Amino acid sequence: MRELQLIDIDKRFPPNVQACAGVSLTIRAGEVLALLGENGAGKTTLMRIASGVTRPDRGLILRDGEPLTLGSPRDAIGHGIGMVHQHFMLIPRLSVAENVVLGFEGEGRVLDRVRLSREVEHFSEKVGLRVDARRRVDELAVGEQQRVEIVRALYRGAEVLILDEPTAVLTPTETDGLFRVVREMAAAGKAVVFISHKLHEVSQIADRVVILRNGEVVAERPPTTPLGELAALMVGRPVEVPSRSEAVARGQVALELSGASSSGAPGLSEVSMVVGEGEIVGIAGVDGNGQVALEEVLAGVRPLSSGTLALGGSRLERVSPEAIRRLGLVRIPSERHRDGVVAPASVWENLLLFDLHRLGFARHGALRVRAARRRAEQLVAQYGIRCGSVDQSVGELSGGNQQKVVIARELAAEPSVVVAAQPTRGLDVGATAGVHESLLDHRARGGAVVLISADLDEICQLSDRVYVLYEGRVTGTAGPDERERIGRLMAGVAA
Amino acid sequence: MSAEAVVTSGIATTLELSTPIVFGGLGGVLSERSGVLNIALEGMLLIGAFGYFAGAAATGSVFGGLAVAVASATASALLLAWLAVHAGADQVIAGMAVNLLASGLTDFLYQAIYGFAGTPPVPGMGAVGIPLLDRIPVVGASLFEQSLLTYVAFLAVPAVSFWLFRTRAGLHVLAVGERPEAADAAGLGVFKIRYLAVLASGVACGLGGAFILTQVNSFSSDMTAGVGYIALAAVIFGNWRPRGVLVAALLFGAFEALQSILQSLGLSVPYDLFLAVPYLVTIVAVSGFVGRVRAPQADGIPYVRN
Repeated sequence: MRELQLIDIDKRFPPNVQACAGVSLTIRAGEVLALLGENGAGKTTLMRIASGVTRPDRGLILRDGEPLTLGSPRDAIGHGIGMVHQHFMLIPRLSVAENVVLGFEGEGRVLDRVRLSREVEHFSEKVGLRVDARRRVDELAVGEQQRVEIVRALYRGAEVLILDEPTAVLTPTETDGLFRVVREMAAAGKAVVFISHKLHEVSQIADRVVILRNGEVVAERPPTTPLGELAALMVGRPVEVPSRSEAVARGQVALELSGASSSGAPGLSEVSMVVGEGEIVGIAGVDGNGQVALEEVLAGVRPLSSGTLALGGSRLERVSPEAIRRLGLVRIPSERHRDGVVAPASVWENLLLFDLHRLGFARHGALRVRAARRRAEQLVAQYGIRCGSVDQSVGELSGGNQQKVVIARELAAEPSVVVAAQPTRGLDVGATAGVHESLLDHRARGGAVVLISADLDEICQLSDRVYVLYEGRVTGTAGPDERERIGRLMAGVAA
Repeated sequence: MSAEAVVTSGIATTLELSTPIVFGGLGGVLSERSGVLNIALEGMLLIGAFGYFAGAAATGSVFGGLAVAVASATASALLLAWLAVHAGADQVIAGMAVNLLASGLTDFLYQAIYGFAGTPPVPGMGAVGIPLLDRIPVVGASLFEQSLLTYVAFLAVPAVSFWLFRTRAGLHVLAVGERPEAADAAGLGVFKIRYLAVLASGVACGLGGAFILTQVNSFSSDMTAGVGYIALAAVIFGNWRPRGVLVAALLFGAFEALQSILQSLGLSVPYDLFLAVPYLVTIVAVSGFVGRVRAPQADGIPYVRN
């Protein structure tokens, strides 16, 4: 194959999301093409169309000039197009070999597992991505799972390999390893499509950068383009990055965790940390290393099996979500849809969810609706929440505006400590800047922030100090400028 | 009764009582490994029992009975498959619907067809001795003097186990039951595999129902009396594995047999309690006290392609 062309692709998701609007794109053998764009720009949809997962409403797909009909992922792989999805398509309880060969087991009704394992191992060595074919996928770390995904795509004969946000789950060291593999594949004549919204990665790995915005291709640039220009193209306007002011004098200890252990997969084990007033403490780590347990422990949702939690200098005897909230700790939860908002309820109800009594919007068990709505309108104006009215249901708002509702509600409680867990996940650049600004404001007012994020850029940009979580333990602390050290700690390597 | 007679009849009764649980349990394993929760085992067994009765009465032959038993239970499985796989219905509700339908429909048909004419005689399936083996002292007569269907049930256990865990088709079923979207991406026909797996559970329940009927050779209202639910418990207790189902079925069968022996010996023990054992054991199993049981990841979740 020399090239794969996508011509004039349209895709609309009911009721009114135009994911792709007349997108044309050429993917060439031997090069790494980066698709750069914000969440919702249509990158993933476009590539799901190219890999047969999603059917376009309109448009043509040509392979070396021949039109293709891609009715399923199997059709696409038959034409040499394979995709590694952001959420891996692996079956956890099956072995690596079974996952790799699934649907392509070859002749014979009875499986010869020994032969299959050997074959998969040989193949993986041949392509330079060693995997242990006999192990069960759920025993593997995320980086290894990704390797299995790539091996599988190649095993099935992929000549075009599409990687959707492949670095999101990797440590910096693993990312370097992946980049080497990507370069080697391009050198071997394969076409690699690299979907990302991270500018510095794109400029590091790509031969060509195509920028998508609102379902359209807005530009094509060489990877040497200044990052500022790429960012502006991606967002559609110049981007200002809120910056951290000089450290506010560190005040009293706002939050202290000592020897804290909890349940979870993984849970916390013997985590100790101190967060002072007027600082943002970043919790770095690859997803799935105890961040959820930490978030829930701090919010009082998950009990400690040992260790203590202290707020404002006094140790909590009985930890409960109510007690913690009363003592001034609020949370911006990582699972916004599950823990952050009540989607079918209105904006005003969501804004005042926790504080109806404290703020006097309920009297003798009855709501004072008019006063509550007025208060909600103030918050909507103050935080720039875009909604039709405060009566609109939160589920109808965009992700960014839903997050604004959460932040407005939590900060309106005038907390001393804010636990922000993955606060900008899935948000566009504008909304992300807004969230960062709110957190920095809180810090400037002398508040404490615990910023749990898998996005290392975000951690380094906002934090005063960084703790690194690895398999539920704190492997070390670092300053926000010590990226490499943080990277090593994220991989569990003592630094 | 002599001690020897008690042991002999105890083993024989255990096997008899285990047989329909094994059939139902294997059906449950096949269906649930593909990701379709099968609460409808009870109803499918009942339809199989009635099917045997009607088929055997009409044709006067055992094989006529078996054919109609399998066909009618498979038809009810088709209904479940349509509701669960195609229509994407809540699978607990779909299963209960099949159970209620089976109960009402078999009653109605029985009344409509035989209500006035009286119950026709149906050919049964007597015990078949296996030459030589049935002469082994004590256990021979109990193990190797069984209904043909009992042998089928126990031989089906290793067969289904091999098929599920050692063949390509079995791998596809497991994949579909764990992560249908991944199976779909690999080109497996998720819907087709689920349909076939549910239909296979219908075949198993047809044989199980036929066995229940041939124990008494006459049909009565709701005669499966909860065996299907016990089979469901055996699926869970057996960790969705054919061999596990076998162990669970023998265990449950043994407790029921013990209960009936104690009753016949006239001992004053609360034998009703033994009937609750399958459920108690299952509750213990799912609450994680004995090892780990884990359902297929996509069990009970309809697959929607986007």
